[in-house]
Formats: sequence, C-alpha cells, structure tokens
Amino acid sequence: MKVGVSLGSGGSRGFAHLGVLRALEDAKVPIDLVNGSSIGAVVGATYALHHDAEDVAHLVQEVLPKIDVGFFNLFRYPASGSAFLRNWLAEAFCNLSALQMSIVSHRNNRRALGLLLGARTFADTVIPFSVATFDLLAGETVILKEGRLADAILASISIPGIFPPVERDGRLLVDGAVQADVPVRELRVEGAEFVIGVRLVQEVLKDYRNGFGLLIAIDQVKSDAVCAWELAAADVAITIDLPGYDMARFGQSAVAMEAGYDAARRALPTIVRRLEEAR
Amino acid sequence: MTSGITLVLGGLGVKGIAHAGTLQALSTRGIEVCRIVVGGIAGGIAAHAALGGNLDSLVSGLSSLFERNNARLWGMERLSGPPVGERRLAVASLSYFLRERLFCRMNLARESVLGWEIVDADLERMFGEARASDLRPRIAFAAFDLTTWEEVLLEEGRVVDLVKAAAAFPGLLPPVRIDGRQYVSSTLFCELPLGPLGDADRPIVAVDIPGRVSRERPTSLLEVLTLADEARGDALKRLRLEKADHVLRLDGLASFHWGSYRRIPQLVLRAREDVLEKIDAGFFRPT
Repeated sequence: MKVGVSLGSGGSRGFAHLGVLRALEDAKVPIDLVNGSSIGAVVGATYALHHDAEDVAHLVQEVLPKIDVGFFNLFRYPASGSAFLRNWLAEAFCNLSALQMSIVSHRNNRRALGLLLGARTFADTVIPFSVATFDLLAGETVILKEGRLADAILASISIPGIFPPVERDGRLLVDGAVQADVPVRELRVEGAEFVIGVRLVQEVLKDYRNGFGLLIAIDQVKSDAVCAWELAAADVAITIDLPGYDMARFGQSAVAMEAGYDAARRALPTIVRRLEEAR
Repeated sequence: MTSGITLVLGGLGVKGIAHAGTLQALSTRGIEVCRIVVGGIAGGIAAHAALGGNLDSLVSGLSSLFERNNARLWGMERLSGPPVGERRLAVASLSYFLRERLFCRMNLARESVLGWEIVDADLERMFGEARASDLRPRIAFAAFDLTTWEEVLLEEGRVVDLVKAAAAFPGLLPPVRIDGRQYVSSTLFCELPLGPLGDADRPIVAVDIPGRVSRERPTSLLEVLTLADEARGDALKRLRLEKADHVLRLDGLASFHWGSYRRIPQLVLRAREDVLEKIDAGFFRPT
C-alpha cells in the first residue's frame, strides 16, 4: 500500500510539517510519496530529496529564515488613522495595487529556493513528489511534477497579491492553495492509496477595520470551507493550530516544529489503526 | 417536480439581476414555486415580484441607477473582466488605473465605496413597511452573518432590511444591522445559498449562472486577488451544487461578468430566453 503525505500552505507555520514528518518517521510510518501547496511544497520537495526528516529540519532551518517577505499588514490600516507613515504606506500600497501584480518580487524566494534545492529536478527525488499550483487564466489547479524543483515551487508559493504569478507553458501560476490548500485529492491521482493530510490552520482576521479587511476575512472563511472538502478525502487529517503565530516571519521554527510533532503523535494511534484496516 | 419546489437563486454582483428574466420565464410557463432562497441583488428582484411588482420597470430602474453612479463604481466593470474581444486603449487604461486606485484607497479608509443613501429612498418606496410574511411565494434571504461568520437565511422582519442584507456586497456597500447583528451579502462567500438547506427543503432547484469563461491576463494586484477569489468561490459553488436535486444552468450568460452593469437589459433578456428554452425542453417535466 502506497502511503502519501499531503502538506498544506501556511507561510512560516510550515515548520510544523517538519515536526509531523519526524513523528511519522519515529513511529516507522512509511512515506511513499509527498505533495504540497505553497510552504507545504517547499518542505515536501526537500523531504522528497533527502527522505530524512532530521536532515531536512537542519537544512530548512538554516535557509528559510533568510526569506523576508517584508510586507506590512496594510489591510488593518485604521479608518481614523492619520499618522503620516500609515498614510504614506496606504498610498504606496494603492499605487502598487493598481500598477503591478504584487507587493514584493520573488528575489528573496529565488535565493532561498536556490540554497535549498539548487538545480535539482523532480527526477532527483528519492520518493515521488508533486506540487500543486493554480492557473489564474484557466481557473484550475495544475500539478507540476517535471523540471527544476525550484521553478515549480516558486509558482506554488506565489501568494496572490503578495508575490507575482509565475508564467509557465502559457499558464499564469500562483499558490496552489487557491483551490487546493492541502492537495489530498491530487495526491490520490498520483497513486497514493492512503493519504495523511496536514493542514496548518490560518487565523481568520475577524476584527476587520475596513472594506479590504472584511473582503479578506470572508475569503479566509471561504478557503476553510473548500479546504474542509479536500481534507475529507484524507484517510487521516492532522490539523495544526498555532494561534498568534505570524505566517510572514520565519524566525520561530522551534515552536511550530514542536506543535507539528505533538499533533502527529496525537494522530498516530488513528493512523496505525486505519493503516491496518486498509491493509 | 413542479409542485413544492425550493428555487435557489443567487449570482455574483449584477449577474443576480438576470433572475428577473428567470422569474418572468417561470411565471410565463406557469411553474409554481413553493419557496425561494435567494442571495445578492436577486433578493430585491424576487421580493419585488413576490409583492406583485412589475419586473420590467424594476430592471429599467436598476439600469439607470448603475448608469447614474457610473463615476462612483471605480472600475468595477473592468475589474470583473472586460467583454470578450475588447482591447485596452491607453485612455481607458489610465481611467481604470485611477478608478482602481481610488477603489483601493477608499476600501482602506472605510468599510465600503458606496453608501446606502444612493438606494435608500428607492428601496423604501418599493417595499415600504412590507414584511417577509407578506411575500408570496415565501422568500428566505441569504446573508453572511458577521457575528457567527456563517451563511444564514433571514425569513422574518422588514423586507427592505432583508433585501439590503442580501445585497450588501462587502467593500462596495456597508454591512446592514438587523436586531444587533451585522450582515453582508453571502454571494462573495458562495454565489448560490445552498449551504443552509437540508432534506426538508427538497426538491431543490438551483439556477446557476456560470463563472467567467474568458480570462484575460491580469495587470494589477486587485485583478489577481479578484481572479483568485472568484476561483475559490467557483470551487465552493461546485461543491454546494451537489446538494441541489436539479441544476438549471444558464450557459448563455457565461459572457456576462459580475460587473457588467452596462448590459443589464441584455442579461435579463438572455436569462429569460435560456430558462424558457430549458422549460420547453422538459426541465420541469415530472420525472
């Protein structure tokens, strides 16, 4: 039986995936194939190359803190705010939003992915690996499993509005989490017969202060509803909640890894039982 | 299937106005509806019809309302996707940039671009003190509750409040307060309000207006966010449609976008023709 692990999106919360993979290895749960969206793709690719959670943890911890997305949370800009800096930032954001497709470029992402994956390709992975991305033009999830890993993952981490979409084969690709936050169903298509889905809970910013805040909060609730459908297809779903954890700051890895390890340990009896049943 | 059906109507943005054509077609062919569950602008359309109002004059009133407020809609038409084949001219692009920028600035500074004052007088004139219990057939208005963050159905109270709650598109119109709770339109969350329905509501007939078919390459951050948000909405709608017993899909409306407010009469006409065609082909024939 082929056991697959599907790793979800969630920015810096993705360190939790490393804890999950380590707990599965400690319990000798086989991992035959992996896929992921966004940060789940970054961790998944690195794991698929090394097939050793401890090695991957060291590598990822060394490289990922070097990513600085460097964006300000302007969506929480208060209606009554008159501070010069806030006003200036809001004006800058509005100009950017009307003139280009993203707030920041992929420069730092390319550098970090280069350090992590080099020029290695999907053919170099020890276990099969695939990346979920979303094509803005066709309006569909696209699975990438050929070519350079860094190129495919760059598309999958292109959070709409934050990072620019990536052009590839006539498609305009962004973060796979648009429709497949935890790409469980897509992993089944790749041949997984037993899927463990790992979801990193995204905090809904319900204390919206303006129209954008409200639009984003409702979109997050919508995203949760779509994700619940994806996870329903998993044999076991591991949900990791990290309240207050800033998804844009990559300097707090230990907390997330521990949370991932603990969540996976709690799910282990269910995983073992369902695996036995499935066999 | 023609007796006791629950008709589910929705539609993102102005696409909901198409249901004036849907309701006219059903009435023309004598299809009886037991209850309508409706989200978005279609709530006002359905309520007007349920109080015996004339849908043609309502559609013409809505068309002129959008025309009058053209300058304040901040590029909504463009943001929703231009008509197929339209080329971007420099002057149009500049105007779009300025409007999109203003849309962005206003949404960072307050809750919405427009205020209810632009329609309050018209809504009061149309619905006055009418209450939900006066509507025939019964109507459940779908809205998104900002207290529980869930899609809910509102079936009691003043019609004017319920119509506003169903139509309060976030970012465009302010939330509506009813009995201490804040509501916005549920169509941003899911175009068709199928979520709160259950077995007791069967048979459920959902009228689906397809999402955009011609996806032009986005040029701005707002366009990227809009495309991603619409895609997520399409995914959720597909999942929710599995709840419906029958789906009446208006494929002829695929070229209309949620911001196509200059093509409202054509939108309604096309919906009427599509529904009539489907009824005549046997859609509502007993199975």
